Amino acid sequence: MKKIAALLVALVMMLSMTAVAEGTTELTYWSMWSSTEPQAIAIQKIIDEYTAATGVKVNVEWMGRDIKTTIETAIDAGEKVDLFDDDFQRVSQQLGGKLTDLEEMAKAVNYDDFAIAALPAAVRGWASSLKAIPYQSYSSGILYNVEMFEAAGIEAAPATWEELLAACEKLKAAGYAPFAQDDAYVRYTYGFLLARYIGQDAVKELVINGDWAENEGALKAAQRIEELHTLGYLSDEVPGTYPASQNGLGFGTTAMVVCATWVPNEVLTNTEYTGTIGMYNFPSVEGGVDPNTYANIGAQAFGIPATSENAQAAFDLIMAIVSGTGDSMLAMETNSLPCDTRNTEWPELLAGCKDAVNAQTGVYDWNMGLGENADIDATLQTNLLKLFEGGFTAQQFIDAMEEASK
Amino acid sequence: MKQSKGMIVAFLAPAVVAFLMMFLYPVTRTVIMSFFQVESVTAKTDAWQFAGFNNYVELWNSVTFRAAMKNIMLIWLIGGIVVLSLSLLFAVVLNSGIRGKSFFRALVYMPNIISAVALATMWKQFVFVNANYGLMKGIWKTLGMGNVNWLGTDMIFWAMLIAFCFGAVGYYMLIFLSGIDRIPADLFEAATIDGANKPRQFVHITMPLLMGTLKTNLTFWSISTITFFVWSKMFSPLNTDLTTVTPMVYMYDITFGTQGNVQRSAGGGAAVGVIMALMILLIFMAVNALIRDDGIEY
Repeated sequence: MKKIAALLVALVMMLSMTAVAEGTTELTYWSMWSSTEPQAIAIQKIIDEYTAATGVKVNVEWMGRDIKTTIETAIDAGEKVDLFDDDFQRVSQQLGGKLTDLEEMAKAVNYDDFAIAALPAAVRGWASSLKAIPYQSYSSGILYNVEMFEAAGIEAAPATWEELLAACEKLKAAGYAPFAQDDAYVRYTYGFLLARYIGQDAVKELVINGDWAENEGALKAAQRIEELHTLGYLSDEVPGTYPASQNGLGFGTTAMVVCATWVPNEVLTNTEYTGTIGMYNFPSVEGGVDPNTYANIGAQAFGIPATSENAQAAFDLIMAIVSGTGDSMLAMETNSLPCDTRNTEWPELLAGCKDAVNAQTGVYDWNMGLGENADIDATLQTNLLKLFEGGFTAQQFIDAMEEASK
Repeated sequence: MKQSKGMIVAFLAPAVVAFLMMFLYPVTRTVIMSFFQVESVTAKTDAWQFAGFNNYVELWNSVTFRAAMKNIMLIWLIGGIVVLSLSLLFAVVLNSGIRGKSFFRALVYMPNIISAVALATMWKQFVFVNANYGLMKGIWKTLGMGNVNWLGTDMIFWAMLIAFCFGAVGYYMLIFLSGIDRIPADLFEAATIDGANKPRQFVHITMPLLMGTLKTNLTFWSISTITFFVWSKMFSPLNTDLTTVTPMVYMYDITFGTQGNVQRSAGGGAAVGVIMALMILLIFMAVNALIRDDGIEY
């Protein structure tokens, strides 16, 4: 009996080895999504189609966002991971040195001809070459409730800060709170203002070197927020507990929020608002260095560990996800921006953002570079919350930042 | 029975090897790493650069870490007084012969079986949010606290502490209850016959005989608060801020980076870990020195 069992086991092992020897490629994909998220569902569909077309099997591990704590250890430990995804800055900067260089493979499929130029450019800037392929991109600006703008008689999207204040006054007169602001994005709003005044490079220098008291732009940016507060242009609950304040766009109480292209989907999900949410680019400011066409653009990105023995197959799968019908389906099903510029059709929910995104000419990092100094990040967050609450004046905010940076 | 040395070694070996691999090695590596400049947790040792006490000095100079230490001390001290007092009170009341003891015991313990994430969400969205859908909005107004912004920078720490304490009381109450159950009933009977009322019985019988349990609770409380993480993350989910940051959150941020800041310092994270371990050790030693439970036998 034992002999028969041993023979059976040996037979099964031989058969499985033969299958591998015959060239059945198996990819292992560690995903930043949880299996029930819309992104995971859409990616799984693309993978299924890819497997049906090529015969390449893909084993997916839906890791969720904690992938950032596990992926590097897995790569270093020699775990079989052929591709993974995470925030595109983290993939490029933290893990770039452990990933396959994709320049040649990208060249072979003319990737740069159809990619949104700013995204691979950012990856190359961080990792010295194309070590990651961005997808599921977003862009930023001021999201607004179109119906409220129409009801308030605002005909054109504000392009300057003065025009923005005029629009706020009209909204207030029409009975709407002009601005929402959630706690999670106070640095985003201040970052936009600061970058408009002094440019992103100077923002990074400021947070690293800490000459807050000497920096006129830092004070002016804080004064703009104080101005919104003093003039009554912020909704009552500002800063709200994310996403309480931005939900005002869907509840019909608040007209605008500084954020990114994921807002329409979030507002729809949270409030079931079915009207249109538009987006215009963050206005320029008087005496500022950056125009109103610069915005934070970002994405998730795929990377292929240098240890992968199936780099080309992994790259082919990535291309199936980030280009053509795969990219289009992902965009449509997750209400995100397409990454393949040949896909000109956008999700209906984002139609109101299209003109603003197409007009953008420059790219900012996340929080416009305000996060460059981890040491003062938490202090900046707390002091900005106080500024939005009205607990700090602009000058008190600058004094507090100067003190913290010493 | 004659003991064979070979057998002793054979039986002990798996446990010893597992202990060395799973516990001693990571602890030793973490302590050593805290004296080196290391970017990632898995960096090879030849990439480590000796930094002496630099990681510790940097922590001392960090505004965020100092705020984290202050927060954790307040959580330990004020939360500890509130949680341990309330849990002792509940334990004594439940043990005083009231009807429905099992029901009330289950009721007070119930928050412990609910995920901290769900509890924190409940507190944030239904109790403390004072905008559109705060369940307690009307009650706060009646109490004259309608304008308190519980989740603003001035109050969010206290809101977080209240929510955390609510979830913690039941666990410590159960330990106190088991301690009180162990005290022989005839001691209380004798005291009652001698004319001692309930408060006197509590002071002269229950408390002295509960010192061992109190010590256990204090140690558990210290461990759970020094490693305070989930509640802080739930109250400041996307960005770390000074009002809710704790050493664990700070360690997580500097070890793995944050959105928009991918700089990492595994050496700094290790130093935070060492400091936290030392804090627990220090508290444990202080508790052992201050609370003596070896003088009374029963």
